[in-house]
Amino acid sequence: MSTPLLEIEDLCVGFASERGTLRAVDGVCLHVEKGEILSIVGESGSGKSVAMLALMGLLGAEATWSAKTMRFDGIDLLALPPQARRRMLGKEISMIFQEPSASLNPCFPVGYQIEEMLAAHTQLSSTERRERAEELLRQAGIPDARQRLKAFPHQLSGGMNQRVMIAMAIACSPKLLIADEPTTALDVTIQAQILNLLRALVDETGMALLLITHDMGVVAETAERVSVMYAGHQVESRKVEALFDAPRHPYTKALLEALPDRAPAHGHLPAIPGTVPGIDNRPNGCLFHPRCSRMQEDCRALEPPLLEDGDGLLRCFHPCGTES
Amino acid sequence: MSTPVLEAKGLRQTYVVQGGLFGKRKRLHALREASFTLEAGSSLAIVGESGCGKTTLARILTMIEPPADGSLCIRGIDIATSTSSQLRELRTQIQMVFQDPKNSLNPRRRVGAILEEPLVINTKLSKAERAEKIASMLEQVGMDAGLADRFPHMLSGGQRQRVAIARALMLNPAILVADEPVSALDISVQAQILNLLAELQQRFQLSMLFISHDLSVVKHIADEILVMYLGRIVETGKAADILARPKHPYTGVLIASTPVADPARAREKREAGLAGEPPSPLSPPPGCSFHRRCPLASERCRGEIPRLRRVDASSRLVACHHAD
Repeated sequence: MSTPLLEIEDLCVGFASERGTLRAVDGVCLHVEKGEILSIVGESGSGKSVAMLALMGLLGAEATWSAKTMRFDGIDLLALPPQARRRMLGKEISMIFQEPSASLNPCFPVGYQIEEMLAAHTQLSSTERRERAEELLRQAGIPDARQRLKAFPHQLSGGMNQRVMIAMAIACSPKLLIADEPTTALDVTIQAQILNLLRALVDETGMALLLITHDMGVVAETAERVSVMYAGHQVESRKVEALFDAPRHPYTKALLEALPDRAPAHGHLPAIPGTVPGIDNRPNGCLFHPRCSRMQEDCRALEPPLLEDGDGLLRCFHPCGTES
Repeated sequence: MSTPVLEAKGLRQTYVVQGGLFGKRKRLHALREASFTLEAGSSLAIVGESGCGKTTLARILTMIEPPADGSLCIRGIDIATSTSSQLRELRTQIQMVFQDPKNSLNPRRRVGAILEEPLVINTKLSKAERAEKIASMLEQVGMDAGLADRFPHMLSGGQRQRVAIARALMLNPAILVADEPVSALDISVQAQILNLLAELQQRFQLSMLFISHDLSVVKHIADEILVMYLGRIVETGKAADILARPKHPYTGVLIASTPVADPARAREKREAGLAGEPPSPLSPPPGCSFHRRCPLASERCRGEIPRLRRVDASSRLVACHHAD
């Protein structure tokens, strides 16, 4: 097997507070192969976005993070000086966010904003940059690309703005695109278009896509591999078909059963009792044990380690599919 | 058949919008000729993308704003010809739950006070009776009565939505209008709230109007569906019928675009998406408003607006020239 494009081991992120450091992300391990679509799925507060912000170096000053390994394309990010790392961002790894209208600068035309990206990372002349920006908009599926270069974000719809964000993100042909809930703010027909576009770009350019989402439907349609997070922990990680057919972690199983999609119409939904623990009141032992149907004595006291399980990773003492 | 609990006939709403700083004033037809009925004890889902007029319809039905044209009868009483005391009584009969409980609950009032207000304004109950009613209602929505002393920010998202539901039910309404009640919630909590709504509907004999963009949620909860596009009803009928065999091309596309949490099925229907974006409601195309995105569009669709008509033996109505 070749070396993975992105390799993260034991990533932890903490936020300083009055009551000491609060752990938002704890022991996350990720491997992304070239050209692969990996999805990180979890409910709010599960740490999925924070983990990616740590990779991008976009965390605020109150955050502290550590990792055993963080390698991208053979380069050790932990040993890389900050300036060199900064140069990689946007060029080799780029990111798009949930609210496209909020991520774009409202005071400049979208064409200018794409060209800015090219000016920072490439040697192109200004005419070449203009041409490339137009080509990128076209690649992102925007009709009348030449006219749209002069449009301001408020003159475009949410879907169009997300396409502009995607055009900007792929401007320097990154090897990895991180998309943080890219379609959550969009209507379903537009969501389908954007997901199709992202998949097509992965096929065409061979970049890898790391898709952060809370929507199991989006995961099922888009991802090749899935990593499920709960309260800052990675609980299960495996191929998408295997995860949906035979989830091993009780949380994954319960989450899938709670979807109205997979339940009989008008029946009682098997909801998960309780709520996700907040960052400041995490339980001892396994973080999911207060809500878990398979909980046993050892789950209360001991934290299960993240271990290899079949072709994936699992953090559970009493996984589904094994009788105890 | 008994009189429907709510009957809308030819509801229209237009807003006047200023086109830019010195632009011309324009008329925006947010809702055109919406006619439908809601039977006692049933649930009707209103489905459509942003800008289709769902929320305008909800605002008219809850009498937050009067319609520009058309009539609305609640329990057989026409609101246009009722006296103000009748209206006051009618308003207690139709209550609303909003999308984001964080914004719909007053952050400076305790849960108890929030729930007490409708009673203070509309009933002559004593303080002790009110307290009793609040405690019993909190219990009905699955919350501890002791939480009445808390402020909304001390509650989780799911608990806040329970409070919003409790508030809507304080006056024993006949109709509950829920505008995207679960779309701001996590999946595990979403299932809890959907179960709660179904339970309460049974227990209080509620008729429910459920506004949503999420078809998997709609499939789970609704008896009937009303699909809207650009201010018009395009298809209405039994939920199970419509979702299994959509007759309007837009309904079909909506169903195809909704992500399915099943990798095998999801991959089959990948390419069924829809090109283009909804046109601006300020300048809808002539003829059928869907014709520019419609795969079936013909010359007739460009000129003639399709009327809602019966296409088979069921109660289903479709506004499409090509439906049969």
